[in-house]
Amino acid sequence: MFMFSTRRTKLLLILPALGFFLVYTLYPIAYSLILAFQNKPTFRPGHFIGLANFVEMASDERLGIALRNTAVIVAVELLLIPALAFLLGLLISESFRGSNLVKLLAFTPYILSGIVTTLVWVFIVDPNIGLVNGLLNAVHVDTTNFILIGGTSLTPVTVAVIESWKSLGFYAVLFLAGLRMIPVELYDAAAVDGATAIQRVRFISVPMLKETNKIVIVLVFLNAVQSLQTVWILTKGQPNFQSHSIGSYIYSVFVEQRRVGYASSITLFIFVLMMVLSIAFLIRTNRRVEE
Amino acid sequence: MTVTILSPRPLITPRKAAIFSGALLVAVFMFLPFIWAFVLSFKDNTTLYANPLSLPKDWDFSLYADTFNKASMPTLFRNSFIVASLTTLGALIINFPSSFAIARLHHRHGAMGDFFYYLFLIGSAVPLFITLFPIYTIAQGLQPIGLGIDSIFGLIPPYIAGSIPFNTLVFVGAMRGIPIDLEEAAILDGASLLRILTHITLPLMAPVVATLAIFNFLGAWNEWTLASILLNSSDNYTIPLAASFFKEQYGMDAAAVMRAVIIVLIPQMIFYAIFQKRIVQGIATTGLKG
Repeated sequence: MFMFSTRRTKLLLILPALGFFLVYTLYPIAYSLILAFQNKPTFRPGHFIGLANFVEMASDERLGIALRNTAVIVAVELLLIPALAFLLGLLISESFRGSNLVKLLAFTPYILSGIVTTLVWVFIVDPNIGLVNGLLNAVHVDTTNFILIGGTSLTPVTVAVIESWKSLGFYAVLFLAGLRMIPVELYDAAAVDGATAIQRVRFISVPMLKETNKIVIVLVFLNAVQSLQTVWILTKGQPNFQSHSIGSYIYSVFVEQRRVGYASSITLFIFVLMMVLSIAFLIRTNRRVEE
Repeated sequence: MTVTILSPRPLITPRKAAIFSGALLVAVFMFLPFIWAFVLSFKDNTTLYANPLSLPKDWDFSLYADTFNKASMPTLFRNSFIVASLTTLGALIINFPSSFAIARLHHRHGAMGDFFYYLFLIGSAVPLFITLFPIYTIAQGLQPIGLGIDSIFGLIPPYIAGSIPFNTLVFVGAMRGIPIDLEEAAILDGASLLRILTHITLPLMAPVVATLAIFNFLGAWNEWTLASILLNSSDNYTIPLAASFFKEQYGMDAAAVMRAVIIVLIPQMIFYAIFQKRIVQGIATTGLKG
């Protein structure tokens, strides 16, 4: 293809995409970096205030609560998703009557808008008219303190459950792809040696999927840290900023309080935190594999 | 009697039982919320609060027509469809040639191709929050040419830009996977670069183009955050943005909220049922490389 391999043709083909990328990705990053050091109300000009935004973050109680809630969301999702998605991946890797239907159902929430799927859940977890509390009341469980949304403690858990439900199909397909790459001979050999199905999963599938599992953990982490829509639809951070996640708190600082500068500095802080933690995790697990 | 793998298969093996119960569990857990939303959509408010678990008295589908008209659904669907299809078209038009350049025109400029490849992939690591306000100011600047604030067309350029990391990853991966011989033969026959792109590479890439078209369309159809920043008047809302106001709009009329939700879900469910195979495959292949 060397005939066309001039620098000019290449640039010409890349130029449209590069243009969009420069304007809508690189320029915003640069602009955000500047905003993070400014006091900038949304509709008025800003001015530089040095590190004042970051100093404010240190004493921002609402941010502290949002961080704590986000930590709960991340923890619950990491507890639920990798294990359940692995099991779901195992299930859809089998072909049985109705397996296509199961695949279809498992994947449905993932392709739908997060706003709409959360709305579907609102009337399951609503403390007054929701299905969960209704069922608990029906069997005479006292639900006075079991407030799944809007309360101060359980909201992040509910958010994590809904988000796990939504993304389970996606992660299951990642495990499915990993399972497909394991040579069938391994399973056959184990079966001949008398390994039970559970043993084959435990000693072949699980170790062979270590790399997939790492990718899943990092993706779950990155998505959970940025969770926004679920919280926004369920509570908008109510009552009194108690149920915000980091994502919904940043959104609220930007849209409701109209403090673009402060929102940018929180974003910057979270972005650095996300990158450091993911890279640290990948390096650590790689080292462990080598040993 | 113990069952060994060599014995004739009994009707219910432990494996079959495990698969069946797993499948049942998945089906119920994944789909129950939608069923419940459907049931709820026929209830009236008094019984809803008195007894949340009761079934609706009658299944009155005329309620749906009512909600459909009140929520100005036709406008919402039209807006979302325009945004999603133009985004898809634009995303494929800019990403196809750029990925071709990255994957194919490597002679003497290999490092350059890699540079753009990784540059574009970095985009997927940038949190959306970073770009929100800068994109808002860009839209203010584009107001005179109709791509500004509160215009559905203003959503399209940032959505196209947002497609670049994913589309580059998939396109470049697929192009590197097809043999170069056909393209080289065409060069010997004197075909122009444009002709090679449209008559050789594009037909070979047809399945990939279809997969990406589906994902780009879904991405734009479902996007909420940016739309909530850029759009103001309800005539211009996309479906997710309008849906985020359903709760306020219908107040405590939970049944109406659920009817609106079901109405916006149905077309997407049909879309999904039609393209299910390609969607699952698309995730599987990109998941492998990501």
